[in-house]
Amino acid sequence: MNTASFDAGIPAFGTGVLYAFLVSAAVAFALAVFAGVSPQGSGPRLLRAARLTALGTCALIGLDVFTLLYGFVSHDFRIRYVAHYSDRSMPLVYLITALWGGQDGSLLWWTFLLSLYSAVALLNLKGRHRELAPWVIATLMSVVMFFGLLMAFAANPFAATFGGAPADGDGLNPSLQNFYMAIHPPSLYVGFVGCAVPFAYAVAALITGRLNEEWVLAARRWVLFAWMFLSIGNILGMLWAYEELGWGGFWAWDPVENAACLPWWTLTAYLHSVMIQERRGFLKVWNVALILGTFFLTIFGTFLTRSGLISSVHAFAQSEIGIHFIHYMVVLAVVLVGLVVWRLPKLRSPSQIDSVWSREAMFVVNNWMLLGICVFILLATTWPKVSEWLWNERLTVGASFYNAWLSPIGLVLFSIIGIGTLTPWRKASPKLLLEAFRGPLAAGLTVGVLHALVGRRIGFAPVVQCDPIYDVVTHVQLFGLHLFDMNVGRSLAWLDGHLPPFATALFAFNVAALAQEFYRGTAARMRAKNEPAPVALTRLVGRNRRRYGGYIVHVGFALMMMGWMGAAYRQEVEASLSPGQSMRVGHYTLRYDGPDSRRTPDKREIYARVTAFRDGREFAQVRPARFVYTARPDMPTTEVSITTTLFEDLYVVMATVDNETHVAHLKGFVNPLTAWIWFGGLVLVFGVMVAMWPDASKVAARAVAPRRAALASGAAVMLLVGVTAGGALLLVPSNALAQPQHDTSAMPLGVAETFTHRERTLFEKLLCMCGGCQRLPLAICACDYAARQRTSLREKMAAGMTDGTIVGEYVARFGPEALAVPPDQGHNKALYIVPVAALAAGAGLVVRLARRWAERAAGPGPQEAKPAGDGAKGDAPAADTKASDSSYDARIDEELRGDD
Amino acid sequence: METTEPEGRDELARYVPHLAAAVVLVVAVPLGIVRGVPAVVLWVAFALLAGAVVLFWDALRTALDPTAPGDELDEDDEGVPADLDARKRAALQALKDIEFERSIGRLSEDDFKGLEQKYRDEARAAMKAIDAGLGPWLSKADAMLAKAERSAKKSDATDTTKTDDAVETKVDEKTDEKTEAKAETKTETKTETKTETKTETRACTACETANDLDAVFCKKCGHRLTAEASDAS
Repeated sequence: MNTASFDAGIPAFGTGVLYAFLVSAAVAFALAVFAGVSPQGSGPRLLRAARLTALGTCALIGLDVFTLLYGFVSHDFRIRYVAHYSDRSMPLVYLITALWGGQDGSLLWWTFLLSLYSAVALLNLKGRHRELAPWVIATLMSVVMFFGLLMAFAANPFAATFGGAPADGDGLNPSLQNFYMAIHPPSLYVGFVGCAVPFAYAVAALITGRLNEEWVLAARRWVLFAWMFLSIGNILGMLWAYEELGWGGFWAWDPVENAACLPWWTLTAYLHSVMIQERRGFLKVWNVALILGTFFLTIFGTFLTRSGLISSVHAFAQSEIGIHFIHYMVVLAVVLVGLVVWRLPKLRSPSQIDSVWSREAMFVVNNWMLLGICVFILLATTWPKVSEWLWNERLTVGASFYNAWLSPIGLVLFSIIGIGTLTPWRKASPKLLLEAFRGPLAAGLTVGVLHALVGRRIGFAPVVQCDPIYDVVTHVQLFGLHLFDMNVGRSLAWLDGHLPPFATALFAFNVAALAQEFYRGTAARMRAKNEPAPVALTRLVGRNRRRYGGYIVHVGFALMMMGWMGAAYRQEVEASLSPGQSMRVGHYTLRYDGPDSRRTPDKREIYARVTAFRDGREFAQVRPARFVYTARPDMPTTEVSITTTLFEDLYVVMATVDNETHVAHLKGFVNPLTAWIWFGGLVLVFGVMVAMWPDASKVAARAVAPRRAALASGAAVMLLVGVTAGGALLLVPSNALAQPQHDTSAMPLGVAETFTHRERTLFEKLLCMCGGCQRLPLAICACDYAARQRTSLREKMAAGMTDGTIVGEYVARFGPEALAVPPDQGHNKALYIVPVAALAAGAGLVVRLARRWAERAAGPGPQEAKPAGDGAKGDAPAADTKASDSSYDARIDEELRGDD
Repeated sequence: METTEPEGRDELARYVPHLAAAVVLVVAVPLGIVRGVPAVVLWVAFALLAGAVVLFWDALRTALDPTAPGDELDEDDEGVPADLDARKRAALQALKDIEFERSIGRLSEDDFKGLEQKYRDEARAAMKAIDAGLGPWLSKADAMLAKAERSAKKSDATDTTKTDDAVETKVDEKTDEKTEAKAETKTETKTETKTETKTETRACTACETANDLDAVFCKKCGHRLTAEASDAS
């Protein structure tokens, strides 16, 4: 920064503000720490000063973002970031999205969101949680400091352009200039950054040793809020992939996607296990660890996406900020583990539950599953790097690996939803439990059997064909003794192929269980309070928001699971058609009527006019297209046409159209139940809203000004309207812009030509090794290189070579990293053995723990045996005991009723 | 609660941030229409800078001036040892849970009775312990109440809160505004005051004590009043 020449202007000012907020964050941190260590004397003053300084820091971060925004709107190309990500022709809305379009800017955006969260948390802290407050401030400021340092020394968004300002900027990559790209990353960021506040509370609780539910209650809404946006962000990501990428799927298990979903699993686990702490006062270590882990995973995820360490060797440029993230993560890990170990004695609490057959126990089981899946994804995502470090062998773990392994594991988790719903808190009487299970079980069995019997007739065959991901026979030996031969790939494929009826059965079971829960609650209320059904239902949900909001979330999740299962029934067909010719996909016939084109100022749009017939009757006019932008004629975009019905989407893509002959290459997909994912997502968000809805009467009763309650309700209404409107917008079928290129890595889109099942199976196993794309399978990758590989492989197939030989040759040429799934050999077995073994060991541990807790409860009572407990000094005289007992009972009754 | 400034000014000071934000927005709209988006961006940036300066100035003053007011530290919340409070709350939650589970037919009557006894004992033990350790706080609360009653002259303060700390806050806030409210200070348990104006009551079949209509147990003798369960929440 050159203060002498004022010419430096905006870039220098922005950098200056960057340093300023770094310093002020450090000051706020120091003040907060001092306030924390000396609670008396000058403590209160320092706390106030820390709070104000932290708020000022937030204002400065806001100033910095607005400075960068000013750079964009005033086209100040002296800033390298502005020159790189915008040009003079860009509309305002994309100038704003360019703020997070590139790496440096997105770090500033991260910090900005963090500052917004911090500001709200700080305002919220005033006059509350005053023991925790200093440490909450200190923690938040430490995170701000990390990102500030990162920007100041490694990724300054205000860095000046080399050699003066260009006349015009490079423009934002077209892939970021669309609706989904505008809302999907910010929503994910909101979820990611939102984890920082609960994290700050958890750290504060650890440092102060106030590990009761104070921090849990303080963090509750923050957790739900972050969780909601993590869910929304991930769902939007799927929607983006589905609408933009044109390969018919919605989740590719790309490392970036995995990074985005990892914190979701731990946070979901926390949402469940925290209820045990609130009720039984144990699992404190576990809950703190889950929140700390979630935050760690958000940093890890940001690291993964930003450093490009794992995506591919070539796809992302190896960024210099990666190493800073590693340093931060090491410090974070050491500090967090240290804190937990230090507080371990305080965190320990007598754990007991009333029965193994209780919801408490089910939550433990659910945590085990959620964590298991999280570990599975984490291991598979990082495996290529681990393998490179340990054995110097480059590998890729592709989507088929995750799909094959996670389908059965996911279904186990899915079954716990219903079982947990039907199991009561505290204790289940066998007779009543049986009664509760009767209806849902019957529903599940009926649907499952129906699926098995008549599924084939309605297009949902009970057994689907799954291709084995491995084809290696393992000789299982024990002490040199040959036991049996096992082909993991084939066994797994067989298992996966038979799952659909179980999935539908579980869906029916879960939904029936949830519906029964609503029904029973309503009926009980109608009986007890003599209310008509709608009133009873509304009040039931209104007064038990967390419970019933959670149930609604589960309904949404169940719908989404059906959408995932539907992917197993995806059908795809492709063909080159002359005008007038048709092709069949599923029970649709697509008739190609000819090309069509249109010119707009910035692009030429080429359409294929296609008429779709369903069972012989005209169903829809679909118009898949390619847009050729004048600015980038070499990168035509693919515009998918999606026609949604209740049970399936007709998804048509146009690959090419010949100008002379008008022959078009079309690809048609039938995607059963995909729309259920989006609908389920909406239901899920609605459920979180219900659970989060501020309780106006309670807020008022807590001696907080009613104004605050009104404000909170207003904010909640606005949020609900906003999210619902946004969600509704998403459901409107649209021809969204598909983009030819990912931001930092080339991701050629369009259509990969595969004609036969054998081809597809083979192409799914092999990855495109052109070095430009993110190592997509040959079955998906649309780059020229992949097309050439496909042609050469086709020739080999025609020459009579077996798939095994072809794969062998391909691997010999490109190395093992060209395989979509690492072979089931040697140390690569660990890739699935470790998580599966961990899950199995976890199951054993869970059962043992639950048993032990239940036994402890069955034994002599805990604290109540000594009526005075640890805090009591004066015992009531024996004669008065009875009278005082009844007065205490009266108070208990009052408290119970008060919350009704 | 030592408010050094008069109530009115304090009240006014609380709205300054809101007012400032409103001014920023109100100015931004015409500015945007007349001078375009860059001007609005600059204006908001300027406002943020001004806000930061004001906040830093305030922070500096607070940090350097030993007489400046600070964020008072809690006197250990409600004066209740945290783990006791947690135990009480957990036991109450348990009672709510089991009542709810029973009302929807998930918990058998026998199990319910057993668990209810257990958690009532737990809740009672926790509450007793809290009360036993609360001596000094209770007397403080009494003093505050007395002070509140004195200062509220003909007004009778009311409160729904159950904790003395909350009473403290509440009373302070309400002394000037709740003039025609009706006081009903419950002296029996000392930590609790309640608002509900009781209109209808029901006599306990065992001891004739008047109880609220929706009471489940008699507040005097603990006799069960109704067969129906109330809701858990």
